[in-house]
Amino acid sequence: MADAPQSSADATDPGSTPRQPGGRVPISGTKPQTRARDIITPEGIRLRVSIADYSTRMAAALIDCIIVYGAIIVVALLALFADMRSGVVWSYFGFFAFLARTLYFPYFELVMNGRTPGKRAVGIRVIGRNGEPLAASSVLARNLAREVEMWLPLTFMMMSSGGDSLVSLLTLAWVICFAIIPLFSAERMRAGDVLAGTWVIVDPKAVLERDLLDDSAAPIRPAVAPTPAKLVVPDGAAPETPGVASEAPAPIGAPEPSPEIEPDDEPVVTFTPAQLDAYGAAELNTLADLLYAEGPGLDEKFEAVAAAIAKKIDHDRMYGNELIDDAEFLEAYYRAARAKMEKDAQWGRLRQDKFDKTRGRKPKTHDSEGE
Amino acid sequence: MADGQIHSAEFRRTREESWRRLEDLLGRIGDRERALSQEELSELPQLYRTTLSSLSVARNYVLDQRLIAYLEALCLRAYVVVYAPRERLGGLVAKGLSSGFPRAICAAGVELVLSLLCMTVGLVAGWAMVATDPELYYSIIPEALAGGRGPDQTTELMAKSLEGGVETAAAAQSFVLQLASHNAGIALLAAGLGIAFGLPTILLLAYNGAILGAMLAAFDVHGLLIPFIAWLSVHGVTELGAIIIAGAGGLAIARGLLFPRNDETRMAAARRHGMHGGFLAAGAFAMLFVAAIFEGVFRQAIEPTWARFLFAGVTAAFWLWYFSRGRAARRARPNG
Repeated sequence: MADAPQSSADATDPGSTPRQPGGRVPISGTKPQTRARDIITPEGIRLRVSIADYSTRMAAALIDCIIVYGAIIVVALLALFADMRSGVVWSYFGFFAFLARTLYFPYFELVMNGRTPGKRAVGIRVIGRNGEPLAASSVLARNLAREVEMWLPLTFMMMSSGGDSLVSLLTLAWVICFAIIPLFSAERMRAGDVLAGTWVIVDPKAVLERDLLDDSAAPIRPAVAPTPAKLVVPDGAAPETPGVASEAPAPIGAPEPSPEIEPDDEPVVTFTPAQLDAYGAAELNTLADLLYAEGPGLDEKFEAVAAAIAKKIDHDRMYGNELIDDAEFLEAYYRAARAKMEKDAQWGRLRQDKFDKTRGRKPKTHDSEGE
Repeated sequence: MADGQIHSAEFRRTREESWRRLEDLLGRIGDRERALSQEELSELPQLYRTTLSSLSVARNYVLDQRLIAYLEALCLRAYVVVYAPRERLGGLVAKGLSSGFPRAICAAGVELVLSLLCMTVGLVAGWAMVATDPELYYSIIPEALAGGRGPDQTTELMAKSLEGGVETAAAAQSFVLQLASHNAGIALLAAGLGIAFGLPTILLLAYNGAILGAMLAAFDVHGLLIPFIAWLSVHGVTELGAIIIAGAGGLAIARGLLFPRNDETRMAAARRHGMHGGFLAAGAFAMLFVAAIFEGVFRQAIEPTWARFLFAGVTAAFWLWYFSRGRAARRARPNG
């Protein structure tokens, strides 16, 4: 079931560009996910959610079942010690078992905003279809169906263990029937999700990595000293430099740069605008992935990529008489190219990838007046 | 500014603090809003919207996929919290009982009639079967439910089974508890089986009707029909009402799955009717707890037949009044 993400959101927003075969890579958006859906917040911003895996949901259900039955067993033991002969104690136990089984899921889904302890453990949660807030009636509906999907066969299995083979067979068929429903749904909805209009999504984890542009942060690899990249405008050549870019009005009201960042006199790799235009956003992202990468064999990759880039943009990789280190060269190129491309993006001329002939290269110079 | 200072780096540097703040609040709020102070709580939506705008800007002007992925995840986390239903559990239950459930009842006319019909058909069939062949009584009624009663028992014993006031408090308690969990379980099943397109729901309703019919026939044989109905109606008005409502919930669910309206998708219909069915089932669930108390306590305490009928009449009047509240609520917010 290869389903493309719904790209219905807003076609004009560059961020929403879907992944077409061999097509463009969006400027933005999360990494491709197998089951991603777009929701639009009331503020009109598109957010991508990923639908939880079938196996993850099974794991969550298993954990929850263990908790429920664990609690029931503990109470049963307590009842056993309290008074073995009294019927009242057993009635209370039976009542507790019933309530625990029936109310566990709806209670936690209401109180924990679409999660249960099991869901929390595996990092998933229930939300309304298309990102609507989870309504209380949805919780009721999806757990009413659970009664039939999960508890009924479980109860049967416990009652008829080793008993009637026809009953066990029918129970098994029943279980399989409902268990495979999610596999036929693109959003992995079980019957209860259909009734309730809910999705189960992966609870996002927000981890902010350091910016490759940020000199003050730790270097990528301790061995490599980060080099501030600098764009040097060849005499009389292309007008587009970050220098111009930084004087252009910032799109988001960026304040003055922090004063503590001062130019130093480390070796500087320089690129011409034409060299920076050799690639597009897609290649820049690939380069970023490489620069963030960890593990063995990186040196060889750096060497190969640096050589390939140098060849394509016809760069001698020399500073004075010194050959620049692979990683330094790549970082410098990344910074300079990103600076250039981000400026292009502000003027709507970002090239999506190196095959993009429509934008970016040789811009008309209406933005270069202030030279 | 020729040293590689780039807008997107500044963009991040100037906003990162507020993102981190949002991250911190979200981390602490966990599942309980009370984990945050009032000021922090009011800060949350503000930070959420600021971060949304950061995301929107970053998507268009920042070529750092990791930053965008971070902002998107952060926004989604905050979105789920900011737009979570505000209501506490107690408030939800109160609201559901005061207006939600009656409204669901008033909106379920067709299903209620069908559900009642299924049960009536079962009742008539059960009665007819036992009337023609009393032996069938034992194949219709499970051993536990029969409790030694049957058409072939002595009239004396049958009459005695309708008397009350003999049980101890402990026995009454355990009776109430067993009844509540048994009946509520049946109701949930009847409604839940709506996802199997309602057929099991219909069978379950008819079967429950047949049990009732067989019992009526068994007491009728001994000329104890009226005392039996009185005995039954103390809790039966509530209990049978709840079973019919739960069955209506199951039928509503099946209706959504099978017969969507012309102007809505099957998914939308399944959802609309599914929520409706869920509401009905939850209400029936609550009603059955009330019925269990009636059955375990009041049925023993109230003995004369007229008093039992009076009690039943009062409960019936109460439920009718309660459900009629839903009409007004529906008029006030027809689509709510």
